[in-house]
Amino acid sequence: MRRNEVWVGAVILLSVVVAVAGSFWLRGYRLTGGTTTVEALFSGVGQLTDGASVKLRGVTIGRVNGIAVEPDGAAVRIGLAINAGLQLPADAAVLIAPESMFGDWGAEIVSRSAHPRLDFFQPADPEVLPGFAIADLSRLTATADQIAENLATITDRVEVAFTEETAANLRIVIENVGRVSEQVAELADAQIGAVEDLVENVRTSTNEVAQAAALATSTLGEVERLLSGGVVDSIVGDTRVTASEFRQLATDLRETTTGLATTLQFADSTLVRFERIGRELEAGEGTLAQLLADSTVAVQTQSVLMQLSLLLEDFRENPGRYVRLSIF
Amino acid sequence: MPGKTLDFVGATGRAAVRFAATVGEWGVLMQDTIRGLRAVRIWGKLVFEQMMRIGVDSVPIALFIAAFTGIVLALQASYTFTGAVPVYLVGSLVGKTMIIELGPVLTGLALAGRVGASIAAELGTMRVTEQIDALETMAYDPAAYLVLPRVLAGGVMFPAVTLLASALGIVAGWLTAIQLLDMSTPEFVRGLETFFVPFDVVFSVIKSFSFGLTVTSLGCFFGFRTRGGAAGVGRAATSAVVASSMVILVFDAFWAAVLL
Repeated sequence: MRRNEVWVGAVILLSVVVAVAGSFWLRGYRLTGGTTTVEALFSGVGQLTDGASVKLRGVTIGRVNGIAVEPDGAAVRIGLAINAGLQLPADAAVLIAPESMFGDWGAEIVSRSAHPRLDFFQPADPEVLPGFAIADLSRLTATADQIAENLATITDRVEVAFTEETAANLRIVIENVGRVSEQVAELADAQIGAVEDLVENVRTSTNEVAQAAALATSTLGEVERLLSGGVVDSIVGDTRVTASEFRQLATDLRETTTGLATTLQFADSTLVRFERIGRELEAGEGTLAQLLADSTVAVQTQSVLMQLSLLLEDFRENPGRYVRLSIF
Repeated sequence: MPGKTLDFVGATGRAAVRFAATVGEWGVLMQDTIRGLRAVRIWGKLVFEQMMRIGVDSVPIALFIAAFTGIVLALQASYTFTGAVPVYLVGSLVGKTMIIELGPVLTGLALAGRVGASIAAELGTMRVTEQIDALETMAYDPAAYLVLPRVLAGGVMFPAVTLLASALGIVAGWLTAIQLLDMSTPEFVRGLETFFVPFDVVFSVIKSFSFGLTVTSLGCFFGFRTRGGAAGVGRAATSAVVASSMVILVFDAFWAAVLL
């Protein structure tokens, strides 16, 4: 073998070894100790790249080994090549976040219960760890920019809406509010007097109620005394007798009312008759009507009555002229 | 005045035609070179010698440049990264810059000066002394005998030298960081790891491979078209270095735009 070939081969092999070994070393692969791979699902992974560090309690224990979107596009699955034999937390979850302001992201295995407010992506497979990506500064800045744009838009609109006319209207409104405030103050002053009167009345009423309560108390005492003295029993007996008498009176009254109804019916029929007689009188029908209507009849009647009167006097004075008694 | 304008326009046209013709001649030479791949018996025994000359013999100068580049990178990074910028980014800057940019480009430029000029001068001398004509007379394919071993050697050895140079540049930067700067090894390594992706190495290999092909093929091309004796050899060497350096920078931008 020629010397040239050895040198050339050495340089080439050395460069290949340097490149390959250096690449593996910089990617975190070490010959000492084995690794095991765990997987985690995220809704998004931000700027996490393959080979990013994986930490547990702040200590680097592995590297991100594989980032792929799930076939349904609903999540991102990442592989974590970590040191074999490490005991992870029982409720382990993976948190990915920027490690600095320069775009390098890292993953950290945490206890999910220590971060109850984070909305971890929940995988269906229990062997896959839930994951959550914390928003980076650029995303927050973008959100802040959006808020600033919205504020600028609002400011522009306010500027457009707030014209000289608006200012004048606002001044009028403020003046009106001032006047209303003054009126309200006056009304309040007036109402204060009324309220004072009301309070006085309430105080008076309270006193009267207190007096009434005292009177009621004494009355109730008297009632209690009466109840305890047996007077009420006699009152109840008298009331019972009175009630019986009222019941009898009611019966009599009911009967009287029944007779009264009959009398009223009779009176009604009598009045009907009187009405009919009246109509006949007005119509000039019947003897009485003729008597009333024809004065000669009355005169004749009067003369007949006079003659009858004379006849009676003559009969008294001379009964024999008119009566003959014979016994046999 | 119109005459001068026409002269300028005519000169521009002649330069464009000359440039196009040069590119065409280079294309023809590359075509002959590719065709010479079939003559393995001719170029096979010459490749290792060229690898030795182009690659192994260039390692010291490449490592020297890379080492001092790494030192300067670490110092300038620590000088720049003050205040809010964390110091571990010195490692990121040194590693990333050496692997994807300064390692391939500086190695390519250095080897363009050393290898490109050497090849152009050697082949130019052979041309002016009619050795190449003698080869053609003896039915040797000059492209397979002279160009192909050099181009293959350049394509293989440039990436190897570049990888070694980049690695040594990073090591030099690390030593500088821990000896001259207030940094620890874990901090520097953290910076190295933070932004490292394996594609950086692939990118470096692709760039340096293209640089190797460019430097060797342009050296061969300008050597082949040497005219005019010793002065022509000097011009050929100069042209090879200038053209190689320019094409290296153009390829550098091209690969960055295409692959990154």
